[in-house]
Amino acid sequence: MARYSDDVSPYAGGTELLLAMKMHFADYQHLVDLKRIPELRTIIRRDDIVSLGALATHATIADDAIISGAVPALGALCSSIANARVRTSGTIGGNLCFAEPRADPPVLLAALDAQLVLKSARGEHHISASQFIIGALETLRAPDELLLRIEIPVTACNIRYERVVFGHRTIAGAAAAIPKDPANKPRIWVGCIGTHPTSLPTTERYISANPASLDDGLTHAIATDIGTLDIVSDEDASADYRRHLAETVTRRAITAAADKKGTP
Amino acid sequence: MTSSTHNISMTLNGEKTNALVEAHTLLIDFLRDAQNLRGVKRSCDMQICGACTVLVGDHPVSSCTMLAVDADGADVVTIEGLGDRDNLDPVQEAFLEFGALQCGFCTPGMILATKALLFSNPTPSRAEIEHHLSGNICRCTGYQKIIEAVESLAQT
Repeated sequence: MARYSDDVSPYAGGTELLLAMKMHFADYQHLVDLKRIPELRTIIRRDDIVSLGALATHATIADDAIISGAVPALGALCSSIANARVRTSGTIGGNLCFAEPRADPPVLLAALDAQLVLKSARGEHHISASQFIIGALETLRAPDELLLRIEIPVTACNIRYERVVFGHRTIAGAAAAIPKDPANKPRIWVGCIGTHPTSLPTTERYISANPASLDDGLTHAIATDIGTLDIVSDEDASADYRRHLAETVTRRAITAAADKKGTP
Repeated sequence: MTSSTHNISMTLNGEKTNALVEAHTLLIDFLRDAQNLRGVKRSCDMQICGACTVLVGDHPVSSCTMLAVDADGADVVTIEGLGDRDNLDPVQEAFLEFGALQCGFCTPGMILATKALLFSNPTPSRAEIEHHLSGNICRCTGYQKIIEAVESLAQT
Protein backbone atom coordinates (compact mmCIF):
# COMPACT_ATOMS: atom_id res chain seq x y z
CA MET A 1 0.00 0.00 0.00
CA ALA A 2 2.79 2.41 0.96
CA ARG A 3 4.83 1.53 -2.17
CA TYR A 4 2.13 2.58 -4.66
CA SER A 5 0.96 5.54 -2.55
CA ASP A 6 -2.10 7.15 -4.14
CA ASP A 7 -2.33 4.77 -7.11
CA VAL A 8 -3.53 1.80 -5.07
CA SER A 9 -6.72 0.75 -3.36
CA PRO A 10 -7.49 -2.09 -0.98
CA TYR A 11 -9.94 -4.44 -2.67
CA ALA A 12 -12.33 -6.99 -1.15
CA GLY A 13 -15.96 -7.47 -2.21
CA GLY A 14 -15.69 -4.97 -5.05
CA THR A 15 -19.39 -4.10 -4.82
CA GLU A 16 -18.62 -0.38 -4.63
CA LEU A 17 -15.02 -0.17 -5.89
CA LEU A 18 -15.51 -2.08 -9.17
CA LEU A 19 -18.63 -0.05 -9.94
CA ALA A 20 -16.73 3.18 -9.29
CA MET A 21 -13.88 2.01 -11.52
CA LYS A 22 -16.23 0.88 -14.31
CA MET A 23 -17.85 4.31 -14.24
CA HIS A 24 -14.42 6.00 -14.13
CA PHE A 25 -15.19 7.72 -10.83
CA ALA A 26 -12.07 5.98 -9.53
CA ASP A 27 -8.95 4.84 -11.35
CA TYR A 28 -6.24 2.76 -9.69
CA GLN A 29 -3.35 0.98 -11.39
CA HIS A 30 -3.07 -1.37 -8.42
CA LEU A 31 -5.61 -3.23 -6.31
CA VAL A 32 -4.46 -5.11 -3.22
CA ASP A 33 -6.70 -8.16 -2.77
CA LEU A 34 -7.44 -8.48 0.94
CA LYS A 35 -9.47 -11.67 0.45
CA ARG A 36 -6.20 -13.60 0.67
CA ILE A 37 -6.00 -12.77 4.39
CA PRO A 38 -8.58 -15.11 5.99
CA GLU A 39 -7.92 -13.67 9.49
CA LEU A 40 -9.72 -10.51 8.36
CA ARG A 41 -13.00 -12.46 8.17
CA THR A 42 -13.05 -13.67 11.77
CA ILE A 43 -16.01 -12.93 14.03
CA ILE A 44 -15.31 -13.62 17.71
CA ARG A 45 -16.62 -12.52 21.09
CA ARG A 46 -14.28 -11.75 23.99
CA ASP A 47 -16.15 -10.92 27.15
CA ASP A 48 -18.31 -7.92 26.30
CA ILE A 49 -16.73 -7.09 22.93
CA VAL A 50 -17.69 -8.60 19.60
CA SER A 51 -14.76 -8.36 17.19
CA LEU A 52 -15.98 -8.31 13.62
CA GLY A 53 -13.34 -8.82 10.91
CA ALA A 54 -13.47 -6.10 8.25
CA LEU A 55 -13.83 -8.72 5.50
CA ALA A 56 -16.91 -10.41 6.98
CA THR A 57 -19.56 -10.28 4.26
CA HIS A 58 -23.11 -9.09 4.87
CA ALA A 59 -24.34 -12.66 4.26
CA THR A 60 -21.86 -14.07 6.81
CA ILE A 61 -22.86 -11.50 9.44
CA ALA A 62 -26.57 -12.17 8.78
CA ASP A 63 -26.06 -15.91 9.45
CA ASP A 64 -23.54 -15.66 12.29
CA ALA A 65 -24.55 -17.11 15.67
CA ILE A 66 -22.31 -14.73 17.67
CA ILE A 67 -23.87 -11.70 15.96
CA SER A 68 -27.43 -12.97 16.33
CA GLY A 69 -26.76 -13.59 20.03
CA ALA A 70 -24.93 -10.37 20.88
CA VAL A 71 -26.01 -7.72 18.32
CA PRO A 72 -29.08 -9.11 16.55
CA ALA A 73 -29.97 -5.67 15.15
CA LEU A 74 -26.80 -5.81 13.04
CA GLY A 75 -27.59 -9.34 11.81
CA ALA A 76 -31.11 -8.27 10.89
CA LEU A 77 -29.84 -5.26 8.97
CA CYS A 78 -27.19 -7.28 7.11
CA SER A 79 -29.81 -9.83 6.04
CA SER A 80 -31.69 -7.13 4.16
CA ILE A 81 -28.95 -4.92 2.69
CA ALA A 82 -29.21 -4.42 -1.09
CA ASN A 83 -29.74 -7.87 -2.65
CA ALA A 84 -28.51 -11.44 -2.19
CA ARG A 85 -25.62 -10.96 -4.65
CA VAL A 86 -24.32 -7.83 -2.91
CA ARG A 87 -24.68 -9.60 0.45
CA THR A 88 -22.60 -12.52 -0.87
CA SER A 89 -19.69 -10.31 -1.97
CA GLY A 90 -19.92 -7.06 -0.04
CA THR A 91 -17.98 -6.68 3.21
CA ILE A 92 -18.73 -4.63 6.33
CA GLY A 93 -15.26 -3.05 6.19
CA GLY A 94 -15.66 -2.06 2.56
CA ASN A 95 -19.04 -0.58 3.36
CA LEU A 96 -17.52 1.62 6.10
CA CYS A 97 -14.37 2.61 4.19
CA PHE A 98 -16.18 3.47 0.96
CA ALA A 99 -18.46 5.75 3.01
CA GLU A 100 -21.30 5.82 0.52
CA PRO A 101 -23.73 8.40 1.99
CA ARG A 102 -26.71 6.05 1.59
CA ALA A 103 -25.12 3.07 3.39
CA ASP A 104 -26.99 1.75 6.45
CA PRO A 105 -24.29 -0.04 8.52
CA PRO A 106 -22.32 3.13 9.41
CA VAL A 107 -25.44 4.60 11.05
CA LEU A 108 -26.07 1.53 13.19
CA LEU A 109 -22.37 1.03 14.04
CA ALA A 110 -22.16 4.65 15.23
CA ALA A 111 -25.18 4.11 17.51
CA LEU A 112 -23.58 0.89 18.79
CA ASP A 113 -20.49 2.94 19.75
CA ALA A 114 -18.28 0.56 17.74
CA GLN A 115 -14.53 1.13 17.63
CA LEU A 116 -12.58 0.65 14.40
CA VAL A 117 -9.06 -0.79 14.44
CA LEU A 118 -6.88 0.33 11.52
CA LYS A 119 -3.31 -0.68 10.82
CA SER A 120 -0.45 0.50 8.65
CA ALA A 121 3.33 0.03 8.66
CA ARG A 122 3.27 2.93 11.14
CA GLY A 123 1.25 1.01 13.68
CA GLU A 124 -2.30 0.42 14.91
CA HIS A 125 -4.84 3.18 15.23
CA HIS A 126 -8.25 3.07 16.97
CA ILE A 127 -11.07 5.36 16.01
CA SER A 128 -14.73 5.52 16.92
CA ALA A 129 -17.21 4.51 14.21
CA SER A 130 -19.09 7.69 15.13
CA GLN A 131 -16.13 9.85 14.02
CA PHE A 132 -14.75 7.76 11.14
CA ILE A 133 -16.90 9.03 8.28
CA ILE A 134 -16.47 12.77 7.77
CA GLY A 135 -18.25 13.35 4.46
CA ALA A 136 -19.53 11.73 1.28
CA LEU A 137 -16.97 9.02 0.39
CA GLU A 138 -14.59 10.58 2.95
CA THR A 139 -13.19 8.90 6.04
CA LEU A 140 -10.33 9.36 8.47
CA ARG A 141 -8.55 6.27 7.05
CA ALA A 142 -5.07 7.24 5.82
CA PRO A 143 -4.20 5.95 2.31
CA ASP A 144 -1.68 3.44 3.70
CA GLU A 145 -4.02 2.14 6.39
CA LEU A 146 -6.23 -0.95 6.35
CA LEU A 147 -9.32 -1.45 8.46
CA LEU A 148 -8.68 -4.70 10.36
CA ARG A 149 -11.74 -5.11 12.54
CA ILE A 150 -14.73 -3.48 14.15
CA GLU A 151 -15.09 -3.87 17.91
CA ILE A 152 -18.69 -3.69 19.10
CA PRO A 153 -19.37 -3.36 22.83
CA VAL A 154 -22.15 -5.67 24.02
CA THR A 155 -24.15 -3.50 26.38
CA ALA A 156 -27.49 -3.75 28.13
CA CYS A 157 -29.30 -1.74 25.47
CA ASN A 158 -32.41 -2.12 23.38
CA ILE A 159 -31.28 -1.49 19.83
CA ARG A 160 -33.32 -0.84 16.74
CA TYR A 161 -32.55 0.27 13.18
CA GLU A 162 -35.40 1.58 11.05
CA ARG A 163 -35.23 2.73 7.45
CA VAL A 164 -37.18 3.56 4.33
CA VAL A 165 -35.83 2.14 1.07
CA PHE A 166 -36.71 3.55 -2.32
CA GLY A 167 -35.64 1.47 -5.30
CA HIS A 168 -32.44 -0.20 -4.16
CA ARG A 169 -31.09 2.38 -1.71
CA THR A 170 -32.12 3.73 1.68
CA ILE A 171 -33.48 7.29 1.63
CA ALA A 172 -33.62 7.68 5.44
CA GLY A 173 -32.32 5.46 8.24
CA ALA A 174 -32.16 5.83 12.01
CA ALA A 175 -30.60 3.80 14.81
CA ALA A 176 -31.63 3.91 18.46
CA ALA A 177 -29.62 2.31 21.26
CA ILE A 178 -31.50 2.85 24.52
CA PRO A 179 -29.85 1.55 27.70
CA LYS A 180 -32.00 -0.60 29.96
CA ASP A 181 -30.58 1.44 32.84
CA PRO A 182 -31.92 4.98 32.32
CA ALA A 183 -28.80 6.35 34.05
CA ASN A 184 -26.80 5.47 30.93
CA LYS A 185 -26.85 7.70 27.89
CA PRO A 186 -28.95 6.72 24.87
CA ARG A 187 -27.40 6.95 21.40
CA ILE A 188 -29.63 8.09 18.55
CA TRP A 189 -28.18 8.38 15.03
CA VAL A 190 -29.65 9.24 11.67
CA GLY A 191 -28.18 8.70 8.21
CA CYS A 192 -28.70 8.21 4.48
CA ILE A 193 -30.13 11.75 4.30
CA GLY A 194 -26.98 13.85 4.00
CA THR A 195 -23.29 13.25 3.45
CA HIS A 196 -22.67 11.09 6.53
CA PRO A 197 -24.36 9.77 9.70
CA THR A 198 -25.03 12.23 12.53
CA SER A 199 -26.11 11.96 16.14
CA LEU A 200 -29.22 13.68 17.47
CA PRO A 201 -28.05 15.31 20.75
CA THR A 202 -31.28 17.11 21.68
CA THR A 203 -33.20 13.87 21.25
CA GLU A 204 -30.64 11.95 23.32
CA ARG A 205 -30.92 14.50 26.14
CA TYR A 206 -34.72 14.42 25.98
CA ILE A 207 -34.80 10.61 26.31
CA SER A 208 -32.35 10.74 29.24
CA ALA A 209 -34.53 13.29 31.01
CA ASN A 210 -37.84 11.63 30.08
CA PRO A 211 -37.10 7.92 29.81
CA ALA A 212 -40.69 6.75 29.85
CA SER A 213 -42.38 9.30 27.63
CA LEU A 214 -42.87 8.91 23.91
CA ASP A 215 -44.84 12.10 23.57
CA ASP A 216 -44.98 15.34 21.64
CA GLY A 217 -41.83 16.45 23.45
CA LEU A 218 -39.90 13.62 21.79
CA THR A 219 -41.35 14.50 18.39
CA HIS A 220 -40.31 18.11 18.97
CA ALA A 221 -36.77 17.11 20.04
CA ILE A 222 -36.34 14.96 16.92
CA ALA A 223 -37.61 17.75 14.67
CA THR A 224 -35.25 20.23 16.37
CA ASP A 225 -32.22 18.01 15.72
CA ILE A 226 -33.14 17.08 12.18
CA GLY A 227 -33.97 20.72 11.41
CA THR A 228 -30.29 21.60 11.90
CA LEU A 229 -29.00 19.05 9.36
CA ASP A 230 -28.02 19.57 5.74
CA ILE A 231 -30.24 17.16 3.85
CA VAL A 232 -29.69 16.27 0.20
CA SER A 233 -32.21 16.26 -2.64
CA ASP A 234 -31.68 13.74 -5.40
CA GLU A 235 -33.62 11.74 -7.98
CA ASP A 236 -35.00 9.43 -5.27
CA ALA A 237 -36.24 11.95 -2.70
CA SER A 238 -36.40 15.70 -2.15
CA ALA A 239 -34.81 17.20 0.96
CA ASP A 240 -38.26 18.02 2.41
CA TYR A 241 -39.47 14.47 1.93
CA ARG A 242 -36.23 13.08 3.41
CA ARG A 243 -36.60 15.39 6.43
CA HIS A 244 -40.09 14.03 7.03
CA LEU A 245 -38.92 10.43 6.60
CA ALA A 246 -35.90 10.99 8.86
CA GLU A 247 -38.19 12.23 11.65
CA THR A 248 -40.50 9.27 11.11
CA VAL A 249 -37.83 6.54 11.10
CA THR A 250 -36.11 8.11 14.11
CA ARG A 251 -39.34 8.07 16.08
CA ARG A 252 -40.05 4.50 14.97
CA ALA A 253 -36.57 3.33 16.01
CA ILE A 254 -36.85 5.01 19.44
CA THR A 255 -40.38 3.71 20.00
CA ALA A 256 -39.46 0.16 19.05
CA ALA A 257 -36.31 0.20 21.19
CA ALA A 258 -38.13 1.77 24.16
CA ASP A 259 -40.94 -0.78 23.86
CA LYS A 260 -38.25 -3.47 24.10
CA LYS A 261 -39.37 -4.76 20.74
CA GLY A 262 -35.84 -3.75 19.89
CA THR A 263 -33.56 -6.68 20.53
CA PRO A 264 -31.05 -6.50 23.39
CA MET B 1 -4.10 1.11 -18.43
CA THR B 2 -1.44 -1.54 -18.03
CA SER B 3 -2.58 -4.87 -16.71
CA SER B 4 -1.06 -8.06 -15.44
CA THR B 5 -2.25 -11.45 -16.71
CA HIS B 6 -3.08 -14.40 -14.50
CA ASN B 7 -3.58 -18.13 -14.97
CA ILE B 8 -6.86 -19.15 -13.42
CA SER B 9 -8.39 -22.56 -12.93
CA MET B 10 -12.04 -23.14 -12.07
CA THR B 11 -14.74 -25.75 -12.28
CA LEU B 12 -17.09 -24.22 -14.84
CA ASN B 13 -20.43 -25.97 -15.25
CA GLY B 14 -18.84 -29.14 -13.89
CA GLU B 15 -15.73 -29.10 -16.08
CA LYS B 16 -12.18 -28.14 -15.12
CA THR B 17 -11.37 -24.97 -17.03
CA ASN B 18 -7.99 -23.24 -17.23
CA ALA B 19 -7.54 -19.81 -18.75
CA LEU B 20 -5.23 -16.83 -18.94
CA VAL B 21 -7.07 -13.61 -18.05
CA GLU B 22 -6.11 -10.00 -17.58
CA ALA B 23 -6.38 -8.72 -14.01
CA HIS B 24 -9.17 -6.30 -14.91
CA THR B 25 -11.31 -8.80 -16.89
CA LEU B 26 -14.79 -9.03 -15.43
CA LEU B 27 -16.29 -12.47 -14.88
CA ILE B 28 -19.21 -11.64 -17.21
CA ASP B 29 -16.83 -10.86 -20.09
CA PHE B 30 -14.80 -14.01 -19.45
CA LEU B 31 -17.96 -16.16 -19.43
CA ARG B 32 -19.67 -14.57 -22.44
CA ASP B 33 -16.69 -13.81 -24.69
CA ALA B 34 -14.00 -16.34 -23.80
CA GLN B 35 -16.30 -19.23 -22.83
CA ASN B 36 -19.22 -18.37 -25.16
CA LEU B 37 -21.77 -18.76 -22.35
CA ARG B 38 -24.35 -16.28 -23.64
CA GLY B 39 -26.99 -17.25 -21.09
CA VAL B 40 -25.17 -14.80 -18.80
CA LYS B 41 -26.99 -11.55 -19.59
CA ARG B 42 -25.58 -8.05 -19.29
CA SER B 43 -28.17 -5.46 -18.39
CA CYS B 44 -27.80 -2.80 -15.66
CA ASP B 45 -24.06 -3.46 -15.22
CA MET B 46 -24.27 -2.20 -11.62
CA GLN B 47 -25.44 -5.14 -9.51
CA ILE B 48 -29.05 -4.07 -9.34
CA CYS B 49 -30.99 -6.15 -11.88
CA GLY B 50 -29.64 -9.69 -11.45
CA ALA B 51 -29.63 -10.62 -15.17
CA CYS B 52 -25.93 -11.53 -14.96
CA THR B 53 -26.34 -13.75 -11.86
CA VAL B 54 -24.10 -16.82 -11.75
CA LEU B 55 -23.43 -19.20 -8.90
CA VAL B 56 -19.99 -19.21 -7.32
CA GLY B 57 -19.76 -22.01 -4.78
CA ASP B 58 -23.59 -22.20 -4.59
CA HIS B 59 -23.83 -18.46 -3.77
CA PRO B 60 -25.35 -15.92 -6.16
CA VAL B 61 -23.02 -13.22 -7.50
CA SER B 62 -23.30 -10.49 -10.10
CA SER B 63 -20.79 -11.52 -12.77
CA CYS B 64 -20.76 -7.88 -13.98
CA THR B 65 -19.14 -6.78 -10.72
CA MET B 66 -16.71 -9.59 -10.02
CA LEU B 67 -13.22 -10.01 -11.46
CA ALA B 68 -12.55 -13.24 -13.35
CA VAL B 69 -9.36 -13.73 -11.30
CA ASP B 70 -11.54 -13.94 -8.19
CA ALA B 71 -13.16 -17.07 -9.62
CA ASP B 72 -9.79 -18.84 -9.49
CA GLY B 73 -10.30 -22.14 -7.68
CA ALA B 74 -14.07 -21.66 -7.51
CA ASP B 75 -17.00 -23.77 -8.68
CA VAL B 76 -18.89 -21.57 -11.17
CA VAL B 77 -22.32 -22.45 -12.59
CA THR B 78 -24.16 -20.57 -15.35
CA ILE B 79 -27.60 -21.39 -16.75
CA GLU B 80 -25.87 -23.60 -19.35
CA GLY B 81 -24.65 -25.81 -16.50
CA LEU B 82 -28.09 -26.65 -15.13
CA GLY B 83 -29.78 -28.81 -17.72
CA ASP B 84 -30.48 -29.18 -21.42
CA ARG B 85 -33.63 -29.45 -23.52
CA ASP B 86 -34.11 -33.14 -22.80
CA ASN B 87 -33.10 -33.07 -19.18
CA LEU B 88 -34.17 -29.86 -17.48
CA ASP B 89 -33.25 -28.92 -13.93
CA PRO B 90 -36.27 -29.03 -11.56
CA VAL B 91 -36.21 -25.21 -11.32
CA GLN B 92 -36.30 -24.94 -15.12
CA GLU B 93 -39.18 -27.49 -15.17
CA ALA B 94 -41.12 -25.40 -12.65
CA PHE B 95 -40.61 -22.16 -14.61
CA LEU B 96 -41.85 -23.97 -17.74
CA GLU B 97 -44.85 -25.51 -15.98
CA PHE B 98 -45.96 -22.20 -14.42
CA GLY B 99 -45.19 -20.07 -17.49
CA ALA B 100 -42.82 -18.09 -15.29
CA LEU B 101 -41.23 -16.15 -18.11
CA GLN B 102 -42.22 -13.62 -20.69
CA CYS B 103 -39.37 -12.19 -22.80
CA GLY B 104 -36.92 -14.51 -21.02
CA PHE B 105 -34.08 -12.03 -20.54
CA CYS B 106 -34.16 -12.14 -16.73
CA THR B 107 -34.87 -15.89 -16.64
CA PRO B 108 -31.31 -17.28 -16.36
CA GLY B 109 -30.69 -14.94 -13.41
CA MET B 110 -34.06 -15.74 -11.82
CA ILE B 111 -33.43 -19.48 -12.11
CA LEU B 112 -29.91 -19.26 -10.70
CA ALA B 113 -31.07 -16.97 -7.87
CA THR B 114 -33.75 -19.58 -7.12
CA LYS B 115 -31.12 -22.35 -7.08
CA ALA B 116 -29.10 -20.32 -4.56
CA LEU B 117 -32.17 -19.76 -2.38
CA LEU B 118 -33.05 -23.46 -2.37
CA PHE B 119 -29.46 -24.45 -1.55
CA SER B 120 -29.52 -22.28 1.57
CA ASN B 121 -33.21 -22.78 2.43
CA PRO B 122 -35.01 -25.75 0.81
CA THR B 123 -38.41 -24.75 2.19
CA PRO B 124 -38.67 -20.95 1.86
CA SER B 125 -41.93 -19.21 2.72
CA ARG B 126 -43.58 -16.92 0.20
CA ALA B 127 -42.19 -13.91 2.11
CA GLU B 128 -38.69 -15.41 2.00
CA ILE B 129 -39.02 -16.06 -1.75
CA GLU B 130 -40.16 -12.49 -2.34
CA HIS B 131 -37.33 -11.10 -0.18
CA HIS B 132 -34.68 -13.20 -1.94
CA LEU B 133 -35.90 -12.57 -5.49
CA SER B 134 -36.49 -8.84 -4.89
CA GLY B 135 -32.92 -8.34 -6.13
CA ASN B 136 -33.76 -9.75 -9.57
CA ILE B 137 -35.71 -7.45 -11.85
CA CYS B 138 -38.22 -8.77 -14.42
CA ARG B 139 -38.79 -5.82 -16.72
CA CYS B 140 -41.92 -7.52 -18.13
CA THR B 141 -43.17 -7.45 -14.49
CA GLY B 142 -44.03 -11.15 -14.62
CA TYR B 143 -43.30 -11.69 -10.94
CA GLN B 144 -46.50 -13.50 -9.98
CA LYS B 145 -45.82 -16.63 -12.02
CA ILE B 146 -42.15 -16.65 -11.02
CA ILE B 147 -43.04 -16.62 -7.33
CA GLU B 148 -45.67 -19.32 -7.86
CA ALA B 149 -43.10 -21.48 -9.66
CA VAL B 150 -40.61 -21.12 -6.81
CA GLU B 151 -43.35 -21.78 -4.22
CA SER B 152 -44.12 -25.07 -6.00
CA LEU B 153 -40.48 -26.10 -5.52
CA ALA B 154 -40.52 -25.12 -1.86
CA GLN B 155 -43.45 -27.42 -1.18
CA THR B 156 -41.78 -30.54 -2.57
